[in-house]
Order: sequence, then C-alpha cells, then structure tokens
Amino acid sequence: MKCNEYIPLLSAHIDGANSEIEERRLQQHLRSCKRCRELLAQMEQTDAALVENIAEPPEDLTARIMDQVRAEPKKKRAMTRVYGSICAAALATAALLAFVFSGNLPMPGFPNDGDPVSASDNSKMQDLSEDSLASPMSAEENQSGNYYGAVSEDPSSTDSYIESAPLSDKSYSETYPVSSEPYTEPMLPYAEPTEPNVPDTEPNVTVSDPGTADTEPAVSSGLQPKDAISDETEPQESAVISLPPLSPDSTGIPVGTYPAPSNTRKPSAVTDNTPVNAPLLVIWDAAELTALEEFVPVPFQSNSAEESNFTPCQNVPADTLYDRLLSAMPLNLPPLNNSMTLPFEIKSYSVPYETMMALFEECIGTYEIAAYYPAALEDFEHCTILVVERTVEPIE
Amino acid sequence: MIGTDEKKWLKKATAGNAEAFEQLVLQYQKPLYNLCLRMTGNPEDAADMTQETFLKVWRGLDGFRFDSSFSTWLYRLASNTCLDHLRSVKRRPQVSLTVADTEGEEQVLDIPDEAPTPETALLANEEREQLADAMRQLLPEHRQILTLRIVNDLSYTDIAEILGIREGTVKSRLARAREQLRKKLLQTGNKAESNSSNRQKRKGGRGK
Repeated sequence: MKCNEYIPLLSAHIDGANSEIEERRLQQHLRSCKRCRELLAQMEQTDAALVENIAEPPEDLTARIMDQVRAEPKKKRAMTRVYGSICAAALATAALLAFVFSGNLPMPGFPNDGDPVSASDNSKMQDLSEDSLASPMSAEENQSGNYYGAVSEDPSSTDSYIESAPLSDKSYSETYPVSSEPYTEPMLPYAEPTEPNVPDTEPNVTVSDPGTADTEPAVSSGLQPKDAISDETEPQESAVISLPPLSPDSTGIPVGTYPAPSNTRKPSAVTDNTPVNAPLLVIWDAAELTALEEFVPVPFQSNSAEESNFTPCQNVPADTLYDRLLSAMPLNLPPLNNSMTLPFEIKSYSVPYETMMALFEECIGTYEIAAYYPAALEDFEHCTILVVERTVEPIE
Repeated sequence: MIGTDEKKWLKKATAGNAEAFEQLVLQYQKPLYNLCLRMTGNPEDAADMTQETFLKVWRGLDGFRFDSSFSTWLYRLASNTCLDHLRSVKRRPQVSLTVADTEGEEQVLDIPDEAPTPETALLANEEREQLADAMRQLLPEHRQILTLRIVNDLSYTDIAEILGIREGTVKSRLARAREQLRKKLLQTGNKAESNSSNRQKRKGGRGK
C-alpha cells in the first residue's frame, strides 16, 4: 500500500470509524512512516481549527427569522399541495425533463467529426416563454424540501429561478450573465482536430441521421458502455455505445421547457421534435467526479495515476441514486415510490470530450439533454454521460 | 435524536404555533448557522441561508413526516439551500475549477520535509482567516461534509442520511475533503508566511 492509500484510514481514524483490521494496519504503517504521522497530525490540527472556529450566530438572527415567520400566515395547505405537486410532477416528468438551455455551451458550430447539425438544430431550440414559469414543477419543489412537502409559495424565493428562466429571443450566451467566459474557439484545445488524449477511446463517433434514429441507436462510437446499476464488471475496451432508440409513437404532449433553478446547469435542450419519452441525456463533467463519485458507476478512464485512484461505487441504492441525481441536477423527476423503484434507469459512459460534444449535437431533437460542466472547457478531458431512461409512463 | 420537548414543539409548530417554532429555531440555529457559514464562506450569506432554511421549515412543517428525523431534515434543507445559493451566484464553478485544477497534481501529497514548518503555518495568527480561505477553495460537497462531521459533530450514519449517500461514501468523501483542506491550508499558510503583504493584496483584488 502506498502512503496516499492510507489517507482514508487516517481520516476514519480521527472519527473512530476504522474497523479493527483497518486500525491495526494503519497503526503498523504509522510506526514506520514519518510522513503519515505528520499527515495525521495536520489533519487533526485542521479538525481542531474548525471546531475552535465555531461561530455564534448574529444576535438578531432569531428575531429576524421569527419576524418573517410571524409575518407569514400559517395556512393548512401543505398536504394538498404536496399531493398536487406529486401528480403534477409525475405529469411534468412524463412529459419532459428539461432545462434552460443557457450559457456558454459551445454547441453551435462546435467542430466535430459528424455533420454540422448545429445551426438548424439550434434554431429549433424552444424559446422559453413566461408560461414555462407556470409549470407545475417549480424550482422550489426541486429543493430538498419537496421530499417532505416543504413547498414554498413565496414568490420572492423564486427569484433566482426567474432570473435564470427567460430566454426568448436573446442569444444563449447573452441570456446568462453568469456565464462570464463566452465560448471562444481558439481557447479550446478540443476545438483543434488533434488526437485525443486517451488512446483507447478514439473520438470516432459514428452518428446516424437523427431522422432515422427512431429505430436505430442514434449514436455509436468507440466508448465503454456500462450499465449503471447492475453491472459490476470492468468495462470492455472496445465496446460500443448505443444510445437507446426512441419510441416511435412519440406524440404530442406539448414540450414546454422548465427553467433550471440553477445557473450552473449549463446547457439543456428540448426541441419541438423531442419525443415525449425521449431518454434524457445527462452530461457530466470529470471535474465533478471527485465529489460525486458514488454517482458514477463507470471507472473513470484515465491515464494519469492519480486519477485512476478514483474508485467509483457500484450498486448504488435506488434512493441514494435518486437523491444524488436530484441534488446534483435539478431534474423534474417524480418522487421515489415506497418500493424504491427508480422512475428511470441510468446508463453511463465515460467518454473523451470531443465524443461528448459530437454526441451532444447529434442528440438534439432526439434526446432531451441536460448537461453540467464547468465554465472552463479546457478542463474537459473526460466527461461522463448518463443516459436516463424514464420508466414511468406519461399520465394523460 | 428527537427529544420529548422537541416533539412537543414540533407538534405545536406544525399546528401553527410560532412560539413553539421559536424554540426549535433557538435549538438549531447555531449548528445550522455554522453549517451555512462554512458552506457559503461569509457571515451575511450564512445568516440569510439560515433564515431561508427556517422559513422553508415553517412552510413545510405540515408535510413533515414524524417518522423521519427532524434534525436530518433540517440539515439537509440547510445544506441544499446553501448549495442552491452557491450555484445561483455562480461561485460554485469557480470553486470547482480550482479544485479540478489542483486535482491533477495529486502527487503533491509528499510534502517536502523542508517546507516552512507546516505546523507553525497552521497555527499562525491568521489561522481563522486562512481556514475560511481554505474552506472557500474546497468543493461545496467537501465543505458540506467537513462541516457536518467536524463542526456539527454528526455521526457517519446521520451524515449518510442527510446527504442521501452510503456510509462508505461518507468515509471516502470525508477523507478526500480532509486531505483537500489540509493541502489548501498548507498552501495558504505557506503563502502567508512567505509573503503576507502579497496575500492581503490578493484578497483585496479578488473581491466579491
């Protein structure tokens, strides 16, 4: 075992959370390793510093809270609201999972190996009208409180989501002042058709015509597919990604667009043609993996030694997955039912950036797309793509 | 975790009794405020987020299921409120990116022995400021879990429930978070030691 593999044991040691065997192994190592002893001492100091710096809340905080509470008449409404919103949520979710398409998504004209679908598809991007604000699933309900029915009716608390909502005629990059780094091609190493950093995953994307995509898998490329929840084996080097075919009879619940409560959910796209039951393509970024590891069932493919230390969790329990998905991406998903059956299935793929972009462009109009990645695109060597397939039928 | 008093207050508050709710506020505002403080990185936002959390609690009490832990619900609400806030003010990406960048240099793990004594750096007068600084540089998820564990002194089981993750994940994420914080503290500490005037300038320049 290398030193940095002892870090989890060091941390758990502080919390008294090591098993007997782990503790013995750690102690044995500590006896012989000065560096780890120092590391432990520093960790303990850091902990202590955090405890020492526990702050007192401002004196008027209670009064502030209570003033606001008292100003708000207590209504017997929450239960009805909850049930209403559950139904609404189910309906909304069945209809679509959608986000504001926003920010510095370099989608239009982004170089890729496939056909440049961007311009026309981009124009199909549905404008957001004020109507979308009246959607049954409000941003408020995406917050954690919705599990318990903490439903807000305070219009002021929806400010951020109102700000993030309207797109109308503005260009996407204008819409989001928060996207402070507009897309500029020269800055992107990925914009150059150079060879990818990852040898085994050539961005060799074969994309079929979206028009014919209803029976065939829409996209295939040299990727490593992985069933998110059930599959525990190592990824096949040469496997082929096939995004699920779309249901052919995708008819008409009008596709509205639900504003994302958060500005950092960068792009998402629903076009007029997006089928009702279209799978949701969630694009995840590699940088997030460190924090959201349990969410990524595919081993992070990487050449670098430190990144390959990353060990994803397998067999994530349904409720965990659900919570993580919701807390990480503001998806409008129906609540988890009592039997803990997920209202969706997830498959994930780890792909090089270029492949992701090609997929992304190709999937517009065919998939509902949500993506989240940091502003600096240079950070993208790998992305994790999650395909979320709804298993809940739309409610008519 | 729910005491009998707390249950009583909860029931009354659910029925619309503001005085009972105030008792709950008094009981929980400090841990929640500290959670928000560490997550948002500044006292003003922390107070706002605490306030917002309690308001959500008040509004959502009707729907609170008494079979789940009230405090778990509170912590979860508070930390999600903070996460949403961080996202909405777009601090999160900046923060994430810093981490993403430095993640690549994981091998920095070997702290050279000749580094200007980390102990003294950690214990410097500016400790408080450095700590806040270092925390701000972490991923929100890391700040969150560090605070829940160390400041709020919650068990792995509670944290797992609050965050909706497994205990094994709590363990590994905490390790990662501790390691990140330690590194950041060393960085800021060393910087502060080598050039404290510079540091002041940097801080001023960064602004809000």
